[in-house]
Amino acid sequence: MDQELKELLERCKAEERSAQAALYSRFASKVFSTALRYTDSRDEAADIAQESWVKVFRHLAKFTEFNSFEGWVRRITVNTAITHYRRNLKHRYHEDVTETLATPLDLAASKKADFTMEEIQSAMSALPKGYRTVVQLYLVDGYSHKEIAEMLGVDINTSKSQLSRGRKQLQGFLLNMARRAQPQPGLPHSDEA
Amino acid sequence: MKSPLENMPPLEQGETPWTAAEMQVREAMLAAEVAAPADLESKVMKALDATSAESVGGAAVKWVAAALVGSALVWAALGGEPEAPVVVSPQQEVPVVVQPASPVTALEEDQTQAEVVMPLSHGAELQKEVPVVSPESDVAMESPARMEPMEAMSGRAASMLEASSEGQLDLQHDSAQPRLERRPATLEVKQ
Repeated sequence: MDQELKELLERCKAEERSAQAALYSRFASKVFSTALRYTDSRDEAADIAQESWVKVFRHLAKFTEFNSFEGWVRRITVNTAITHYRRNLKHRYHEDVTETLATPLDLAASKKADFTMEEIQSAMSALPKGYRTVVQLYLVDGYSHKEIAEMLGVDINTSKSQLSRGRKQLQGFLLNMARRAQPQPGLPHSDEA
Repeated sequence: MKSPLENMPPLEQGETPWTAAEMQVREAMLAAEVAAPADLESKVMKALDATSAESVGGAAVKWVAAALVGSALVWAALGGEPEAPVVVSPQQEVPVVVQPASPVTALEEDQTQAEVVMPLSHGAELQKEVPVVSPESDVAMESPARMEPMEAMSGRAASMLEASSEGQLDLQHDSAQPRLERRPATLEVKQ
């Protein structure tokens, strides 16, 4: 942890308002993007971010400098987002979605592995919310199946199956994007037109 | 060179290995930064102020409650009257420690010649003669067999007790009452 952040945190622990504002400015976009990953709505993401920031400032004394502050803030945000997710749960773990669209071998065969941020976000957004939540928790935020099961109030095997199905769907979406990006044989390339 | 797989979450047995696309998804998602709404900061600060006010208010309520409890305890310790009188049923058996009468012997052994009014330390004598309450007394409180029925107890009538409290009762000397005796004494002064 850099010295500047360390001093900023100490001032925040003393509830110095200018330090709180500085800390907010430094991590606001990270917190908001994390919140946005777990919801489809910017308004709800803003609510999650606001709640997360209040928790961050209120529980700052519990943070130890041996841990990554960004990681600590992200965990608080993810936990808050999961609380919102469970509160607003309307459609739980779709089972009737289109199954496997691609295999890892398909993707490996694909030459394109450098997706744009928009493509990745689009693929993630296309996942059913239940799948997306488990994929986000496991793949992106690094929670174990046991932790996910506890957070979501489901069985560990449910978490595993949701991850497996979610991964296959995600890879299918990405493969489709990769195929669309590749010039089709027999068709004129856009540069040639 | 560090493998990109080292940054990936561990997979359980039977799960398909992470693909390059998934690694990119993870990296991109963790690095993503989306500008927060402009008014979010002020909302956060307002929420912080609100929670601070709540915590201060909560602390004040706790202090007031503690002060009330403390004053109630002090009042009780100083012998405050209970709010409701304790009613004892006539049928209720109350354990009573029967105290033997204490003999008065102190003046008979007085060796001095001076005419001195000697108050008897009646209370002290009684203190010596009162049987020490044993740990069994706690058990006796719970054991009806050890209790003496109220009807079997003898003593002064309630009317006499009331009279004595008003100073109208003729005191009757008995062996248990403390006495004051006056005796003539000769005072010798040596020069």
